Amino acid sequence: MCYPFRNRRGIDYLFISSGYPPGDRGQAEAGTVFVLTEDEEDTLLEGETQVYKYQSGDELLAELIRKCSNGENAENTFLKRLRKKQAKIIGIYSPVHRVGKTSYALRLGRKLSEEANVLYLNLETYGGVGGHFQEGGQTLSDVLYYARQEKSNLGLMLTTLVGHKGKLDYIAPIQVSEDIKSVSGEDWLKLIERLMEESIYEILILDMDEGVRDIYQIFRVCSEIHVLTLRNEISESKLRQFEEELSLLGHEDIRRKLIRRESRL
Amino acid sequence: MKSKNLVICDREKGYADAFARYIMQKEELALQVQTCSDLSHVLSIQEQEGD
Repeated sequence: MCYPFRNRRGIDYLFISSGYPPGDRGQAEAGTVFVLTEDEEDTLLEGETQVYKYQSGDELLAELIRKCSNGENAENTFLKRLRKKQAKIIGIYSPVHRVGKTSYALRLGRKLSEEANVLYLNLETYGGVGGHFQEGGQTLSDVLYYARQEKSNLGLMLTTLVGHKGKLDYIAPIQVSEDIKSVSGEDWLKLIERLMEESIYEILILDMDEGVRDIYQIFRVCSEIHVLTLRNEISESKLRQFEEELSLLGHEDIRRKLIRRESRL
Repeated sequence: MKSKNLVICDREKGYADAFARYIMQKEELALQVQTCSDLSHVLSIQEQEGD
């Protein structure tokens, strides 16, 4: 259990090396004490929590959050309260392939992140291993896992799950294409809703392709949808087909959100 | 909201500093981070915070 308020004016959280003998450590008073250990043989005092010293910063921070997130007020405990100036969901999509959609989405995200807290999510079937995003670490699969748990502190956990490109935060894409195809529209909407309500982000950028299930449901919650195209007849024909299909299927509301963007390619 | 304070105490100063830098770059977290390499420093932080 975590006691952030045990010492009302003392140290709230202490990470201390196991190199200090337990007798010495016992003199330090803190709400919650994590002992940084290099092996499992270290002796712990009552109330201390052992954490492996040489894990990543993300994992150490996640240990702190997990330990101290049992209460419903965990986000109030750790997260600065930020009043969101805006709330916007921008979809990025194109029926034309190899059009530079992800590059465009990241450029847009970086530009917007100068003025607001922006989170980029890659929902593509093949978002790439490496490429635009750092290899390894946690992915959109992990974020979906937390989003599916009603009592998880998603906003808080995000701080350990996001990568950074300048001021833009991003979540690395799912690595197995079959996994992303199995995510239902309902799950996507729940994730988006929780991200907007519980995180610090004011703008979400959703980089999508046709592999996303129930994509029209996601389009519907977008404030605007940027559609990338190339200036040639084939690309124009594909875009025309997409727009006409929206009308045919009764999605005029979605069609009105489309903003054409010409690719730099 | 008042920030919570977090202290990292390790004789390996480079480790404590790197861990502190990592946490401080998470600007959305309401945490104030201090490091030290001597246990007596933890005790003095404890006393200062208790003032």
